[in-house]
Amino acid sequence: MHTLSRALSGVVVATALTACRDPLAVQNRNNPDRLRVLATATDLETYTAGAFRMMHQGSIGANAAGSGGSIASLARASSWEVTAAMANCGYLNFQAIPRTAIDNSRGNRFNTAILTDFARQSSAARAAADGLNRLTLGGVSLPSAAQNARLKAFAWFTLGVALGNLSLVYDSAAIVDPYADLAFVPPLSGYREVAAAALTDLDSALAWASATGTNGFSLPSTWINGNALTAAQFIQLVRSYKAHVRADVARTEAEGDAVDWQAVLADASNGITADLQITTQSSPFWGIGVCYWFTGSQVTQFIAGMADTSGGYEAWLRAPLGNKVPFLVVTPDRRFPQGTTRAAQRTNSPTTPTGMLYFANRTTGDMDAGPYGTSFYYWYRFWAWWMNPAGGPYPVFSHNQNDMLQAEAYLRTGNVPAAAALIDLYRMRAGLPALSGVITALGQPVPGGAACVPRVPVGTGPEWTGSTCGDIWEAMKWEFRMENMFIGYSSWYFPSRRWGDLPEGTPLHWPVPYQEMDARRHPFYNLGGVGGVDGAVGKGTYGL
Amino acid sequence: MSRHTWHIRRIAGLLAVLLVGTAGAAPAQNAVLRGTVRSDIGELIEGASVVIPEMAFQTATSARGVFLISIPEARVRGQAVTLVVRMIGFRPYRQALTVRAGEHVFDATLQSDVNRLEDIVVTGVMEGTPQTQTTFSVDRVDLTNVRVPSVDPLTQLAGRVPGVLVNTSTGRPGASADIMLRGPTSINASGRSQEPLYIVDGVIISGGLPSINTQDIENIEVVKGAAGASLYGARAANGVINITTKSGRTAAEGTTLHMRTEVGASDVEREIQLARQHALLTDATGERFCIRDTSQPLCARTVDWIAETNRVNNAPGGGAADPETFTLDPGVSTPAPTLRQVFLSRQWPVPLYDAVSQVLTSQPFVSTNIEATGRAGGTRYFASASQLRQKGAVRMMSGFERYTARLNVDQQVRANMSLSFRTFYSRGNWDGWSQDGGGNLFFRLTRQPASVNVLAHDTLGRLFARSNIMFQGRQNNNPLMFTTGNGITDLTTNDRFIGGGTLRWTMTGWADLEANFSYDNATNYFDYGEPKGFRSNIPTDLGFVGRVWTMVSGGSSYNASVNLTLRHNLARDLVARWQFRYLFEQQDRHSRSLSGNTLAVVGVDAATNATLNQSIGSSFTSQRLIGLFAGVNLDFKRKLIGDFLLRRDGSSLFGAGNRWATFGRASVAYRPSQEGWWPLRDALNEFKVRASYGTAGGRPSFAAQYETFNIGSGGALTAAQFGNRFLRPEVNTEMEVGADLELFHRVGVTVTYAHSDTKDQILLVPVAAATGFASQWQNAGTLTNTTWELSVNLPVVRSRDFSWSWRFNYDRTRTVVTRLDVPPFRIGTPLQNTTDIFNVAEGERYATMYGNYFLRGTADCDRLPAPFNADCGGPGAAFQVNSDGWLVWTGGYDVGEGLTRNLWMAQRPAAESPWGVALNWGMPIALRDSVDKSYGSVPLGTGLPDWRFSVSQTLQFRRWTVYALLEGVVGRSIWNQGRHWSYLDFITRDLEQRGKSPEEAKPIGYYWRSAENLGIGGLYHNLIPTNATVERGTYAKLRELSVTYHLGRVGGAGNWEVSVIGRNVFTITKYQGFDPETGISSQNYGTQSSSGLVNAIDAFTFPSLRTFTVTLSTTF
Repeated sequence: MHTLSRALSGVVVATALTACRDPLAVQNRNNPDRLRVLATATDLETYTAGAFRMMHQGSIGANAAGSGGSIASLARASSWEVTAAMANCGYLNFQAIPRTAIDNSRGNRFNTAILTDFARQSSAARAAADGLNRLTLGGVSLPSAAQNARLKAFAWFTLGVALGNLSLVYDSAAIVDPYADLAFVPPLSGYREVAAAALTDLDSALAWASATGTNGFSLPSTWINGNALTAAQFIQLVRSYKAHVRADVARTEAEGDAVDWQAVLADASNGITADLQITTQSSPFWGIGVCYWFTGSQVTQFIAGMADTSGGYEAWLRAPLGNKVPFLVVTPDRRFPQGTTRAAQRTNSPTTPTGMLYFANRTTGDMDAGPYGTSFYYWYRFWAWWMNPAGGPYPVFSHNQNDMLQAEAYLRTGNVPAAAALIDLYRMRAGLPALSGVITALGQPVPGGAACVPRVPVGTGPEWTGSTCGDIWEAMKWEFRMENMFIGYSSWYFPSRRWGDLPEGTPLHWPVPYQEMDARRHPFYNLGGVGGVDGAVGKGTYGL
Repeated sequence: MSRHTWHIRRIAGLLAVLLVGTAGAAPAQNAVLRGTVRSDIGELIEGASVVIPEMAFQTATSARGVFLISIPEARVRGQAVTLVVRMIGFRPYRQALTVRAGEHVFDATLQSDVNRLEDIVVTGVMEGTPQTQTTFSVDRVDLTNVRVPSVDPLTQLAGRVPGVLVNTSTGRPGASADIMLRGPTSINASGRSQEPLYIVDGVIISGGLPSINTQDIENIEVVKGAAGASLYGARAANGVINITTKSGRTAAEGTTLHMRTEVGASDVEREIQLARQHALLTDATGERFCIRDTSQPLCARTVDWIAETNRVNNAPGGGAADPETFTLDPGVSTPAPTLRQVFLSRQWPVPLYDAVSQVLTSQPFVSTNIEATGRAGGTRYFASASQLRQKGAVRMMSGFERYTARLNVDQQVRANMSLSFRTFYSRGNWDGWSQDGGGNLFFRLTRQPASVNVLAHDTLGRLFARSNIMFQGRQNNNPLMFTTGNGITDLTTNDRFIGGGTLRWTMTGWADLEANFSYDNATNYFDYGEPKGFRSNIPTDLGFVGRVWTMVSGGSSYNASVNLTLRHNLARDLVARWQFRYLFEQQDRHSRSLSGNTLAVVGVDAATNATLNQSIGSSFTSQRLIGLFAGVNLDFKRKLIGDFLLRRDGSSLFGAGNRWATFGRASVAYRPSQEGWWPLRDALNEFKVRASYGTAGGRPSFAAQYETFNIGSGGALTAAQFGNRFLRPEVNTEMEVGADLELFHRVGVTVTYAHSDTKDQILLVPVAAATGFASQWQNAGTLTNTTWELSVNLPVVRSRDFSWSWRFNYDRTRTVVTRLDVPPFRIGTPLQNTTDIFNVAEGERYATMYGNYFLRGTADCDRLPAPFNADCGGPGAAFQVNSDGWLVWTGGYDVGEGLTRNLWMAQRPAAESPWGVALNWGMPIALRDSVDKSYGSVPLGTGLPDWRFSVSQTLQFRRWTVYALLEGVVGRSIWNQGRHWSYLDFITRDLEQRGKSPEEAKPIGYYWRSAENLGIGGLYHNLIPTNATVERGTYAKLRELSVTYHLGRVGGAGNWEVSVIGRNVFTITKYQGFDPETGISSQNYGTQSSSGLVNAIDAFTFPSLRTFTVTLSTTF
């Protein structure tokens, strides 16, 4: 019995010893929590400034090469920016005519793509708001007032761009408010309200960008990788984004007409004067998720044909659906390979992209991307970059985009000469005749006669009656398309909505991903499709 | 007793005395007990345990069945004791005796224990308990004389125990099998496991088991649910597998050597059928292939297949050249209308190969094992060493190699105290980890048309990088490109040490104390490298610049426990055993990785040689558990048994507010057959009913409770996971009832019903994106398993020269999500297009696979929208059923008239078609939603089987023994993603039309891309499950077969046996993939179900190996 007592005592002592310090309290040494992330002012600055990179990954920085694609991929296919022979990146599904609804059912094939942008933009907004909250309400302060102001300006800018992107892509989103309690989960608001909040946030960014002092502007080049923007440059960028959000949030021609174009003009005319180029790199990751592959992606004959002066486009438009075969685009537009035979154009398509040559004639065989998609051409302006997608500067907001927003505003406010001058900057560089002095009003055909560029379809598809020379409006769109293909955040898709260029049934925006609706215990829904909810109504500008 | 027999016994007794050295010659005043132990058919039994429990004397019978116990004079007091003789497979023999000086002979005859109810089990019970006294099911598999030892101990359980689901999800040598007991208990087990708790010699194992040498194992005990496993508390929701390795506990004095060597070869039993024809356009000779150029006249340019292959592969530099694009290369270059006219039926004008048989080839299997068992005084030992080489079945791969060593020592310190030590070390290495699944080796293998010689080399002696020059083959390298034989490093090495010590102290006749400490350490090294200059099939690929990737991961587990057992008679015939236990466990895991590419110099493997895309990573986790346990077992006359326990567990894996949880069990067993009034003494000679109700816990992964931010490259921070300090364990509550019967002293039957609810499911729940986080682990549901298990043992004939026995097992488990406190969601695997294929919804069977549905049979006429459903069915209808069973649009023509009336090009306009979508003649029709015309998502099958069975039999005739085990799985659905993919690349023989009648022949568009505008269509549809490629994976597999001849002594030495052994000998199935025993396990991919048993997706993992060997063994 004595030995038993001793043994029991040992157990009790061992238990008591382990009870002195809770052996079950284990720290996670791999992933920090919020307390550790925001422990110091320096860390707070790093985290808050990092929100822009997060936002970037929620737009064009995601890895879109997988078969599920990303919103950027799906939107490109929806707006003619790319076609493909394969289903990778969702191209086949979203380029299909007739358009089908966006399937937002549970477990749908593109659910990752639909969710990723929503989640990352929202997270970026949250991170920027967290930083603002701590800076404003949390009593954390950086070493100087100017440094505080710079971070606030950048945080408001990031918050504004993130909300802006959400308003452009989705039918609704949550408006994250830096002054709300961190635990508060804001409700979903419609895209107009989200865009309005974004514009307000961008205004706040402008307000803080004017502060001066020690450690203020320029921005550290790592915040927008490779861009040590001065305060003036930063303000130009903010105003370009304001013009972009204000104009591109319009879903229909009617909403496009209702945009405050004077405001757009005011911002765009004070916007960027050079491309915003992000230096892509692998560590820290500043990649671009362009879903493109050399042999798979194609330039649709429907758009590339607008440059054709040989009559091939005319024949292609008139042909029945089953007889629409690729044709050689013979054009004065120097962005296309020159020559009247395929061999000549192939010769004119060097293996390394140079100068004005944006397209190449395929050197390997042709692939079937459907009657609308198949062409001899692929887009290789940034071919060198695609071969090394995490190395080098890549334009995410082009000077042309800002200029064409400005030109569109001029056209919509009746200043055709001013618009023509802006369009000519690019048009003449491509070898096309100037509009200035020739075009004085909307509706006049662009110069060039039978060799005019662009041509636009007449009638309705799939068997059009022919084509005709476009006017300055189409010239503006042409220059926008040529200069912004495969850069920026689904560049073609957003303005195509208000231009009425999307084929019937093309979804006008994406539904809030079902995962988010599940989290909010709301029912989810599909959007778009011919006859569906929020699909492009009727035949578009180009008769499809 | 004849005088002759008497002499033999005297001689045997003398031998026994000589063998048992410490006993020596018995002085006259000692008590000497001797005897011979035989079976009921007269065979001498070696190794039977002979015990006098009251005096703690124990010995074992010799090879001639003889035992001897010498009791010192000091302990001879005329007391009454019991002599107990035990042997696995026999009922114990008990003989009351009085201890007096002198010699006494006790011969024992052991009766066969058909249902093995007298086997002592130790798992889930307080101390070693015969099965007759257990209150819940404990299955015990004795592996001492296993006929067909497996490489992985877990596969040894396949077909042997009802309710144990074993699946060789990948046949890659060195990979573990997936295992589950009864069914899954976690809906989302990512970062953790559905596998049971593994215990080896008391050591709680933190990693997998394949490093353990199966031939070291004495027995495996299985407790399948919480009703039995409550003893193991917060980590036992998935049940327990307890492995006991061999020891010298019952060894006689001296050393016995056992040697075994096995030599043979492995291959893959089944093939997949690759196409032998092509659909490319050729010139008039059929010898040269047209090159596609839409600006040139058709077939203006042609190439010779072999010359073009050589041109592409002879390209200098790092990559293969781009091939020409063939006209009518159906993969990418042919319009849908053409595909509706073209048939895969042209003969290749080149020599034909079969890539499957070229790559899969018979490779050696060699296993050698040596054991030493013995006793030296109070020291008993078992030592073993083994070497295993399993090269697998893939040419140019190295396979699996393993070395093990074990030393188990039991030391009697004092009469009432013993020490046991168990030490084990193994080193294993294998290649091919990075080739298992996804777009790797078997993907590429199934993309090689019959014209491809994957073994060909270019003029520089390099393996063809781009063996398939058709355009769709661009991404599909030669399958052998990334094998170790081609210069790739893809090597995993595992070092494992398991050790532990146990002190047993019988403090008094009624109190035992046991203390245990154990340690398990495993380290995995993974090295992947493409040397600088390594060749790719893509000219611009970075592969040829070289890459390195190295990982080190592993962990250590420490367990310490103290256990006190008290025995006490509460009343006459009512024995109570009390037990109290304290234990502490800690598991530390770590990993580190380095990778990069573009190597600076040739021939350097160091990560510093990588100049671009360098990546580093590391992690460290620690888990701790404290358990406090108390229990009592009440035994009334060995016929009414009650067992009750309570366990309080604290775990570091839960939030601060919920670290401690309580588990328990109440169970009872009753043996009416032991009652005097039992009327069926001869017909139902053993009858035990049992019922047990218990709870056990399931734990989350390490990080689940924490709020986390991810640290990306360059220190970029991203909010990842909401923390949850209220996270609780999943609690598995199981009610198990069952009966163990023996009929006519011959037929053993065990039947068990179990119902378990695993509540508080730990689920990854999305949170609103505006929080900044993606998800949170929450307790939010219940998963229910309902199980029936049946096993029947039938010794048909049993005599000394001839015996024949059968064992039959059956089990059926239904796993249903019975409660879900969050909206339905999907789970899957990270492989392409499998991330969301299993739907999780309240009321739905777990592992139900969802996808698109093609209308099938006339029964689906009703699924067409009105008015089309009215014109559907028989001859003359617009919609008819074709020769494959699919419902297609025929426009009223007969479904076989596609060719004869040239109908394959006919279309029905969208405005006149169901759902407003144009239809092509004769093509499968995908079901659409009536509102938005989307394809929707419908249930197509369940990854978990409906039921399973196994039949084994052993037939012994004189020196010959034949053993076979057949295992069957019924009703499991598998998405054959490999076949689905191959529709896209026209590689499957399904597409071949040569030899078919015009009525049955189908154009390529029928299988791929029939739709005009969408660019997709046909049975390929989208790369998601459809009812065309989700197949029934029902199978019956002859898993084990052996034929053994017992040679006996050869040249006067040894005890020799020679055997011919087959593993996975043949499979009966209609499944069209390599092997229906397949799935995506979590060994390569972090799947959400965390088990290949659930992830019934056949996505290019290694098929399981068929192995034939010859074995020679002997004992000295």
